Amino acid sequence: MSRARRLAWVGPLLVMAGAGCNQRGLATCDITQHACQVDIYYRMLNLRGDGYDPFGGLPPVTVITEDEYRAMLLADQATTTPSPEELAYDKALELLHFTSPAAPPPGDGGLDGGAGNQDAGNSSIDDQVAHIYAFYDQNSKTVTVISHPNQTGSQPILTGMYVLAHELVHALQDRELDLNRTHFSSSDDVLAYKGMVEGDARFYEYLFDNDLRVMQGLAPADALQWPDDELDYAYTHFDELGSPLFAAEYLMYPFGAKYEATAYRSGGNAAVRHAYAKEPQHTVGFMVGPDGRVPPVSSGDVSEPPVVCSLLTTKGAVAERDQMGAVPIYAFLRAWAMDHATAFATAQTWTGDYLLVQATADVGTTAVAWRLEFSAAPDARIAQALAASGELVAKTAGTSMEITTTNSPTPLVWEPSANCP
Amino acid sequence: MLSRSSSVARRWPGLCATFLLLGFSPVSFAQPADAAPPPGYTPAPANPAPIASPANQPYPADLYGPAPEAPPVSAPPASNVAVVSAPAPENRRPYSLGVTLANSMASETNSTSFVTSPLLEGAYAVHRHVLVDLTLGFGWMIDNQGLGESTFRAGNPMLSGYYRDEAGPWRFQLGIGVTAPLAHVSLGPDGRLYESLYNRTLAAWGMWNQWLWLTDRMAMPLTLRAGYTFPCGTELAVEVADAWVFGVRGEASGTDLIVQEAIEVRIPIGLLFTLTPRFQTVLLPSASMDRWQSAAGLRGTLATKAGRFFAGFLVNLDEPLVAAGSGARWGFQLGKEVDL
Repeated sequence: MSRARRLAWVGPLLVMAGAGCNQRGLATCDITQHACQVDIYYRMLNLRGDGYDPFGGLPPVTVITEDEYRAMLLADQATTTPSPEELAYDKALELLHFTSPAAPPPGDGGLDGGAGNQDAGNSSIDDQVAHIYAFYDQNSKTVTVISHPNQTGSQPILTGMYVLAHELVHALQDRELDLNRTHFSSSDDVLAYKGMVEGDARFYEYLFDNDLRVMQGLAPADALQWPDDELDYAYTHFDELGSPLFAAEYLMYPFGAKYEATAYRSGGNAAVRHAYAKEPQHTVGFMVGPDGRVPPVSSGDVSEPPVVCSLLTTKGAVAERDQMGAVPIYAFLRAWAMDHATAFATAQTWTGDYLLVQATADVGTTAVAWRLEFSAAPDARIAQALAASGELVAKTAGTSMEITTTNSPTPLVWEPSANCP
Repeated sequence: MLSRSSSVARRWPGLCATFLLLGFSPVSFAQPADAAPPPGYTPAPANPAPIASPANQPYPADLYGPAPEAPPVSAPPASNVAVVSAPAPENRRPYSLGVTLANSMASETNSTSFVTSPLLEGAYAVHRHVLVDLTLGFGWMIDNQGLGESTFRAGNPMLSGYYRDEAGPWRFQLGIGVTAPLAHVSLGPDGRLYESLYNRTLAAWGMWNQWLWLTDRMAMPLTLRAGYTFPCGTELAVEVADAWVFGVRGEASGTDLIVQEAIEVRIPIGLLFTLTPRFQTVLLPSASMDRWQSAAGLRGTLATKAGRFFAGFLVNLDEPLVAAGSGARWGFQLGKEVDL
């Protein structure tokens, strides 16, 4: 074969190779524009490395105005009518100061208006309208982008881009996970699931954000360290995170991202896929400290808390049960003035908890008993801090703790249910 | 006889020259008219029949070529007039089995993963013009987490029927098939592994015959293939397929239309080897953004007494697969074709 012919073999191969290696560049763009949405979506596909499902495509993206978003939030609010059980449960959280009024959450849009998170925490409608850039609705399978014409400059544009990237991860997840899952056994279960869903979205949002840095001419950062940085910031600025319940919900984002970053560091996207399949079933599984030690995850089984016998026999009385989990316990302890180190170390030893809410039919009287069990005896200062204000009664016995509180004007007596007639 | 072949070949200097420009050199028409075969070897037909391929792969079915074995020593020289010299029916096997392994590799930050997709195919000729074909594929993803953590899933089995005919240098094949929705992604912690595996498998095939891999859906593909064999032995073939795809399991719903088209050239090189460059493009379902997915490929096929064995590759040329990452760009295939 002549040299010319040999070269003729090579030419088409090089053309094919070149065609197969082209990659869409990333540029600053307006997320209300379709081309921008497509660019970001393709980039997220590339970052996750899972290929392309032709039936998935770009999920429908709707662009709405701030006024339309406000109307949507108001409509959602108006249609929510809580049941007596929900009212009693809400009252219990309030008595434990889980949902006490607090400073508004950090509203930079990066918190996500993500999957199922439109009603996150105590964020007011005004806050949401001003700070939410986009959200994914798993029911309509639509990403909604909120147009903020008054937010000009490069930073809102970049923020909008990584928020959209986050929401598009939810769209991809919607072909992998059951984002419409409604059967959860407890708040701990809900938050652990949230840690997986939101942590995944946060993690790839970080990788995308790093791409944006490079696009701006900055040196790439160690995005795998960012979840730790975010957690450190949250620990040191805990009082800025809003109510403890909201803080716990918020913390699941960087906790989940850290879980994935740890997997990614060890084995890239392949390890993340497998980590996905081994997601922690309890929030304690996400509480990896700076030492890298993953706390052992128990079954969560726990003894029953004491009950108010009189409320067991009251006609129409309401009872609700829940397991809060380690991350809400961390947030709870922080809200009751415990330092980060003590609260974190205590929460890491969580083996189970049982929250029992009893209320009269009109929810006028609510009694709360919360039993927490740990693998080691909790710090003695915890019971002291919890009881200091007189609102809670906290008793420690070995490695367990029982916390009771009520809004009843008359004293109530909690005792083992076996003692009730 | 060979002189006649050469004279016919000269009527198509433009086309054959085009192939030469691409660097492909069909030896058969480069031989001198009076070239003698090597000692102890009986000349092969001057117009070797096109390679038969599995019906449900890229390089699709041409299922009625003669058996691939080299002609027996006692066989008479084949006619140069007949483009296809089918052996006598009694010499044919009515069934054949084939297998293709499509492979892709993704090297990403901190990880490498391989996807291999065995596609098993069995064909049975119920009549000279009618063929029944059963195809079942699998996907297997192995990554740096180890063999024990590998992911294995089945594709959608497909039962097809083909009617085939020929007229002079033309060959036609019309097929209809139906798939069963075996490919499934259960929404849950394993869902991403499964989704990734199916998507990567699709990419390894350039999304060709994607109904074999679409999860929770069944499909009814209609295929039409037409081929023209030039006197120089080169075959130009075009295939078009339309498939209605229905969501029948899980969260899949609705109906969509998938269209795919391919053009390929089968160039015999020597007596036993065929080189086949190919271009294919797939019109993706309406939910997709960039709706045309194109790929180019090259396959080399070696005919042996044990069957036709091939190796080749394809490269996805544009989005969405190119945008989806390194594991979605290249596909490598090897295997044995269905021979009937």
